[in-house]
Amino acid sequence: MWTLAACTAGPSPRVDVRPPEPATSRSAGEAGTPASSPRIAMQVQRVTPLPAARALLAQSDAALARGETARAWRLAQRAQRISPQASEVYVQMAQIRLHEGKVAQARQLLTKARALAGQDASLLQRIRDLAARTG
Amino acid sequence: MAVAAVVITVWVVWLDVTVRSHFEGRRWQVPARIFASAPLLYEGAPASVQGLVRHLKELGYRAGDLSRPGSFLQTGNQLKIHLRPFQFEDGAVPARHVSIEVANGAISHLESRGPVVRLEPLEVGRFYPGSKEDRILISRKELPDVMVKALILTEDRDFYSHHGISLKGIARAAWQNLKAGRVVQGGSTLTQQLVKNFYLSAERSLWRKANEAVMAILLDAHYDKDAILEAYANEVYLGQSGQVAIHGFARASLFWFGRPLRQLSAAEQALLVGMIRGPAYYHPLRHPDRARKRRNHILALLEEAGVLRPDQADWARRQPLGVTDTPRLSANRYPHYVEWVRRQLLEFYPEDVLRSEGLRIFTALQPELQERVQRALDQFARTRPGLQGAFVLTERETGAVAALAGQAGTGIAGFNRALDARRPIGSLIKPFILATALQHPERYTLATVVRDDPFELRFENGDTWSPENFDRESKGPMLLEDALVQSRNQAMVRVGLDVGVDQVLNTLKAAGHDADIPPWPAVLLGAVPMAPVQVARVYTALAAGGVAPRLNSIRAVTDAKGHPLKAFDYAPEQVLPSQVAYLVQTAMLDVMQRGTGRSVYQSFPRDYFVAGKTGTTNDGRDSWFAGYNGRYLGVVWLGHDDNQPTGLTGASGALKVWRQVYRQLPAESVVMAQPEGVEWAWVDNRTGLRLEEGCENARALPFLEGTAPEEVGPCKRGRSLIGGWIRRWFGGGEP
Repeated sequence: MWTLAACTAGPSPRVDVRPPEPATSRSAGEAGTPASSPRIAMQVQRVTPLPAARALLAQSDAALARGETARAWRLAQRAQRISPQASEVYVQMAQIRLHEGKVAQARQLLTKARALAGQDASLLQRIRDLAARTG
Repeated sequence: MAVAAVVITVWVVWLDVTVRSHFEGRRWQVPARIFASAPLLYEGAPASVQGLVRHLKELGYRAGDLSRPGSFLQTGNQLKIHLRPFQFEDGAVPARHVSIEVANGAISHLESRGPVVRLEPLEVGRFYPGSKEDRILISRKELPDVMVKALILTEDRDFYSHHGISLKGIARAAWQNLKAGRVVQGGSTLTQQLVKNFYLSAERSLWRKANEAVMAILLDAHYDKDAILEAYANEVYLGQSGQVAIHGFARASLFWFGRPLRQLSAAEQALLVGMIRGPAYYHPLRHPDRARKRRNHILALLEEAGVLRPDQADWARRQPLGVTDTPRLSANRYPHYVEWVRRQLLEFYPEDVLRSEGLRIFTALQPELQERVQRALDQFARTRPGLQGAFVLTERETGAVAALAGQAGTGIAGFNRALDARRPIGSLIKPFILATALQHPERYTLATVVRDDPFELRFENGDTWSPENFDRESKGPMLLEDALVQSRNQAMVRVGLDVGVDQVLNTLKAAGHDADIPPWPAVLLGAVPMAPVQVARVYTALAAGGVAPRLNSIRAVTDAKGHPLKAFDYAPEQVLPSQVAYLVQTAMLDVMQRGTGRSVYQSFPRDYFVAGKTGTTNDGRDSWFAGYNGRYLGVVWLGHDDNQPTGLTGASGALKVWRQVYRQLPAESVVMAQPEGVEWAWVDNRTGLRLEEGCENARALPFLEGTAPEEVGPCKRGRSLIGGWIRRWFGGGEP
């Protein structure tokens, strides 16, 4: 029943690749319960920028308002090094790219921002507003 | 007569052209300078006072007095720094004062003009982007004063007054040799020695001597003394490592002492100067007594000339030779990382740019992490003869490569396994099978029951193939999540065959793998050869939540005037739906919490969330681990170059090396912000049927919106008071 018609390349090399070590001797079901729970706490979390990153983002925004996009971008990148999991960083980067007319890049950055925004309604709204401008 | 005059003129003109073209060619090449990542100082940044002080000392900052730029003052956990001006990739930053306090492994207080301070980065190498040659050049300014004086006293006292050759020097040497009854001194000037090294073969003949003398005179006529001295300092032969000759003081300093020239003491400088006479004869490891005698002779000359005070000379004479036991061949401290920088430069920058001079290359290298990574590899391999390895450490969101080690063990930097060892990835393929399956939510969710049972594939030519599990057992029906968590071959291969090997390869390709691989079923067991850096790339796709950057070693490049060339801008691309990446990451967290990677929690606290996947190939020929915390993704490979079995699994080998590095990193958990379009539900551990919260047999899993199971299963209750309490505690009533 497992005959593979599509596999016209002939016999596969017999590479017997194994998982690293015998899995837990307990069955999957018994092993699972307690470990799942802390994850649920994680789902509501999201990372917010550290104060230093926030300050850099504010500086970046100010630079953008002056039309200094290169400087704005560098400051946002520096903020990203500090708080790489913070959605705000990517929102700012998207804003800069939008300002430069690089719509495709802005769209990707907003996807990133959205993936990190968690359930933060106002942030999500801001991302939606910006996304609307990418057409 | 006239013919002879013409011949001589032609000869001299020819020598002149040779001298000038060669000298100019060498001299005016300004190497590209490679800088590590500039550390960022801000409140909350992980840091230690010792680490910062080490960094400052490496930069050549002095302790104690803050009056001049390039100094620092440490009192307890407080550090005041008077930073030097520095030309960063985006412009010059002037000298300035900074004050830092460190508490609990992080900067607790920062006083400066702005909220974030960029520290001067370490220079980690120099090279000529256009050539393969691995040299470190220094300018005349960078030559230590004592060293220059020692050089002139020892080799050519009349250097600043002669015209390329020195009759006085020849006479003095002849007299000394006559006195001693053997050759104790050569009469060659520094200029002649340079000419000899530069242009001429080692043959000893009168003809060569004549050429040498004329060329020395010509060189002296064309260039000033400092330029000649600089060329000499970069050309002088100071040792041998196998096939490779060690030329130049800067490189010799790294080779023999493991430190840059400017960090050498007077005694160490004297040793290098002394060795010019015969690097093999005065080999400081093979003939330490000779070397010491020679060094002390040079120190005596320095004392005699008043360069060193008697007490300084005495002290210097009492010092050990100070050479390292394991001379390092490479001119670059991190040769494998720098090699990748060079490759990326060639890939992303036009050749004429690379040929321009005085480039400054700002990389993402973090020397402290690089050294930890190397140490962890070395330590693990030390007791296992022949075991090799590689480690690639990246910032998982930015794609910046913080460290890259391509071999285990010290010694000559050879084969860069991180870049070039393509080995089957084994079970590291499984998250990509999962990611492929989860893109068909009508068929697969994490709660889909799959079968871990034996089966046989029959090919058209009659051959058969039946994959086995590592433990040679089959566990029967299980949730898809558990098939990954426990790395079940039969279950995952079934899923892979069902969705299509070509589809799995497409997922891998989308994630950044560029090789063309035929869609054999064995692909599903990881018969896909990949180099560690390629694994890092495809795992970045998962670790960065499906919207991933490309890996990069270079942050920026500036030209000689400090103008930025094309920058390596962060430009992520969606390679996997964020929701699918979220589901796969959840399963990879569970690999660590309770699956094949669980041994990390012998040393990590339970609430420190890391995600990853182990991989082992047949007979433990390859031991892999790819895993990440909140900030860094690390890929480790261990194996033998000749593909012999190692006896290691991913967990007993690569994972241990990974853990050794990660236990020294700040414990930054993976935080997975749940993207829109994902919902959580409680399901039965075995059947995947919907349950309500609080059932003993329930597990919470994420689903793409609208795909959580609807059919409700039986809830086991009782004995679960504590479990339920824990769930409520963590879950806050949320499914």
